[in-house]
Amino acid sequence: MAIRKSLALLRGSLVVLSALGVCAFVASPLNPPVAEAQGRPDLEAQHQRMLPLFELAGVVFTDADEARGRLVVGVLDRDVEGLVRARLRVLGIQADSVDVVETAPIFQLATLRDRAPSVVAGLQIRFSQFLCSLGFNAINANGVSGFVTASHCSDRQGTVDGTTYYQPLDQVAADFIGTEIADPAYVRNGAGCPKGRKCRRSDANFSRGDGPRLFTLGAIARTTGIGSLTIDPAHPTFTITGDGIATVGSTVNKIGRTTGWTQGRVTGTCVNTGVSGTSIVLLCQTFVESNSVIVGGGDSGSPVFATAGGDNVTLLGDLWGGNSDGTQFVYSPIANIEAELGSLTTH
Amino acid sequence: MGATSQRIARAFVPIVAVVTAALMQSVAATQGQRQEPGRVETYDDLLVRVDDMAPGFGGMFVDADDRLAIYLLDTGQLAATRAAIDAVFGSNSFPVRTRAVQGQYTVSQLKTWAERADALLEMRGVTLVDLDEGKNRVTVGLEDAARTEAVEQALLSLDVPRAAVLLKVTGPITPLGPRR
Repeated sequence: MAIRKSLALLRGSLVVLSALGVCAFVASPLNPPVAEAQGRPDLEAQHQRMLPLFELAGVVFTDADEARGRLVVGVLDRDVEGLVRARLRVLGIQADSVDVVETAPIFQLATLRDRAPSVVAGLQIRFSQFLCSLGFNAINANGVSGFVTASHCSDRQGTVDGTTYYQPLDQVAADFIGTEIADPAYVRNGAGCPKGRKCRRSDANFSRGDGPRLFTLGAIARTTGIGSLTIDPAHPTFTITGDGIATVGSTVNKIGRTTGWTQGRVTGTCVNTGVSGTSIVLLCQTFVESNSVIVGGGDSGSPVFATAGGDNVTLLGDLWGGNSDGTQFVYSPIANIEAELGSLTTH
Repeated sequence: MGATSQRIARAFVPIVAVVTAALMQSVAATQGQRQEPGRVETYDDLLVRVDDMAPGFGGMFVDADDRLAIYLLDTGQLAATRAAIDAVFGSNSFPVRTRAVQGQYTVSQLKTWAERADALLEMRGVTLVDLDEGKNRVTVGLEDAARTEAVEQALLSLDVPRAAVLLKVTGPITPLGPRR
């Protein structure tokens, strides 16, 4: 597997929908209708004949504007107009019935739940019959390239069981991204572990990266804004520039496949946490709260980070839990993860 | 081996020794990190180090005005305590602006009580125990309010001052995945 520090492989395949100018144009009073000369069925018939225009580079869309009785061709650049009009003549379409307008490119919108060309943090991943979020890419102390996600996002939590991961969903070779190789056991009677409980300092495992896709070290998928699952085509990733710790009261962020990009304020650091319904206590975890929903099932594993604006962020840990109404999440600090998985290079 | 070869070999011996020693140190350092999993200095340990350097430190948080609010038994010790915080955590770790908040307990006291209160996690329905540096208290989380009396009784037996403890109903804390 190749981990690449260069960013933005997402950039090429991600997208913007920005054809609002087209709507404005076709409604413009500056373009007189020719519907009197050509009935609507005829207009649509001519529109169908325009399909070969898409063989020309730079043609974005064609439209039969029934309201105004005009044909419209959207192009990326005015330079293409001559080619378009020449082709229209070849197609037997009256050039003066066609408006050629400049428009922005139109892309298919990609989300955290879609197949990404490069494996980055925050994307949806699958193991067995379940979905989680990829925590962050890393190189472990033995030089193995791979990724971290939540330990409970594996077939057997606290056991190296060879869980296989896919991104985003299908268990096929093309979507295979790795195999779990580290998931330390829970310990009873260890330092600070309450009687009758078993403890760890992180809910995190490490998987060897594999499969046909590149892994981009230090990249976290970036969505179009808070609450969004849609990857920002202009800024498809955040860049991890360091690891850090959070203070009570500070604002932290997470990116996960269920609730996307959310943020809240740290309400507790180094909190010994009893996982409800289990005998597990996770030592020294960080709590984050908000007045709105910031987490949901499937967000486990999500990278948690601090940002000072811009693309650069500080990695804080991986999210694993929360309360039932989704207004609070809990994450394992990066120092705890490294204490259990060994030193990790994250950027 | 000829004389020339022997000279070259002798010349390389110290270099090889130095390189080997450096490599061994590097490997030992790496192994040291790996061989001591779990022995990491926690955030709470760092808070106690601040209290050691500037006695009377009771915790800190970033307030709504993006200032570092610092609990102190003696609010006149703000500058000295801020210096200790910067020495322990690094000078770029927190907002530059600082204010003092009257504290009632030091983090060293709170850590002692929080460690005693960890035994509460043996009880069903207790979700968390925290040296809560943002409130100058020990915070104990409960799945529901029905656990309150039992936890208060347990605090007595653990010799943790009730006034130093905040009980907070958190609801259950559960893993947030996997999602089918």
